[in-house]
Amino acid sequence: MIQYRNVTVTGCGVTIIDGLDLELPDKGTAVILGPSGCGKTTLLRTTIREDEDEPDLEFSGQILFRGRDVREPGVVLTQLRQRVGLIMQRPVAFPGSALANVTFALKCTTNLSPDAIEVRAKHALIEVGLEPDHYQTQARSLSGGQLRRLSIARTIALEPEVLLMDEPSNGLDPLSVAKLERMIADLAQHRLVVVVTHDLALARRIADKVFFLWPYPKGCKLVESGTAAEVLDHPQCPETQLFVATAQKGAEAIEESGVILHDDDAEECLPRRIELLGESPASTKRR
Amino acid sequence: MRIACFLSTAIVLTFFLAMGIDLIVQGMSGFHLGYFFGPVLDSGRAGGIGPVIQSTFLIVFLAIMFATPMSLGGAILSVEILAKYPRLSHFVRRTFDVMVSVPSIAVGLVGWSLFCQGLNLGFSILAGSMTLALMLAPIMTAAFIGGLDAVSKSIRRESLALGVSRWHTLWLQVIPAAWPALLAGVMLALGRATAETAALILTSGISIHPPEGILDPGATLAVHMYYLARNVPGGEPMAYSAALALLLINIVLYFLLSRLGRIVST
Repeated sequence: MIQYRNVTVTGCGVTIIDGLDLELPDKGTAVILGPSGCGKTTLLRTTIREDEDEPDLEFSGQILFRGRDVREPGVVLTQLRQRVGLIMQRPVAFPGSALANVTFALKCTTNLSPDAIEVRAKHALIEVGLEPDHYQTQARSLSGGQLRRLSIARTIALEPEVLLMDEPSNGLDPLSVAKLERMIADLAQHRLVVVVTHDLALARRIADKVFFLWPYPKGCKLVESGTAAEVLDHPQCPETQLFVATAQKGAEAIEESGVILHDDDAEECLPRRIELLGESPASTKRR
Repeated sequence: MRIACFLSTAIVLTFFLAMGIDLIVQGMSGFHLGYFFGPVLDSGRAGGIGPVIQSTFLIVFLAIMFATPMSLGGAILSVEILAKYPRLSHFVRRTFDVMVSVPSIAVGLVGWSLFCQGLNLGFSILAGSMTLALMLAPIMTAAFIGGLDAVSKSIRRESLALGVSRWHTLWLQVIPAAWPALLAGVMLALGRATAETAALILTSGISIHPPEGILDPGATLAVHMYYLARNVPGGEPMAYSAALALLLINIVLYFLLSRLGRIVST
């Protein structure tokens, strides 16, 4: 469905993503895993050409959606963004009611009648599990979990073929995360859902396929990919092994691994870079 | 530090209070029934300020009408269109900032040469309002830029990510969210417009007759006040009355626009 070919993104003179090659499946849930600040969000943003709005970001390579380069001159940006929906890490409420939040994009981008727009918006709200009591509630007064669901409803009302979700479980309690997981499973039945996260437990539960990225000093690269069981239960690369072990044992795992983690804390607008120094478990990389 | 802050605020407030009391004490003598609507008599020493109020409203209203779209255009250019070119955007913003500090008499001279002479409008309400619009545009643009800048970048990102065009995003999300700040910019400009004298003396003239159209000359309250104080022997008490009237009109306009802002933002 989506192929990334030799994708390189630089920002503020630093390489964020370095020659990434990655192919996402046609359907199901693909989880992109990696440490915070490694460029996962940037990868999603480049998919819908959001990087073009940032004067500091420079892109090279190709992103193919259904075989066509999304940056070809003939591709209409607004249509691309309706077909590939992006749900932000920190969704914001548009002014107005929850229903108006969902109808807004439909009014601007479709020729549907007002009645049809309302029907489609309500259907999207039902699909994400927002109760009819909330339809007329001011969107800004919704809770974090409700706002995230509203944000998903805004996007799925446009019936996108691909749904990109950036850290969807961020800031949600376990009950809300459970609801979210069920929703993602439902949505993934009819389309490709790409979830970017660093939450291993979430990835394990929802992923049909996992892609593990690592922020090397020269930029982010794909380290390992496979099913959740392959990548998370039997990681082959030292970076994945370290990441999985740290999620289970904390700092102890870093000490046991015998590597020195040279971690540049990401400054504003700069990517994070992690270098493994010293002895690291040698292994074959699975791609 | 705290005492210094209290003291500085007290000095400003005391001065403002003293000015208000002075205006009321000296200006009330000229107030009478029909002062706001009556004709100007005896070169302004008697009668009301009806024609002056008419001219004031016409000049200020037209100036705001001319300046608002220009300023909104400038602000949209700086914040939205040039967002991809930060250096150019910075240059445009700094240019507007410099234009705010251009003396009004200089704008008046340009207006006189451009509109009164160039377009052959002579001393007229139209020439005055266009000159005033040129003076207000940088002030309003700077305020509008602040308003558009203050709208969360996330709102733009979310809207654009839904495939909504840049213009729909601007008109349906960004500008409504910036309404209170845009209105504050208009209020600021209104205050400047009603208080302006130098630029208008050179372009709209000093007439105490009721204007029959926008090609007639007309004096604003501030110009009328200046005229009474400087050119009419014995006109000072009525100048105080005009000043009091101007202060009252400004206060009423301020509250009306604040109310409008609250209604719009809810």
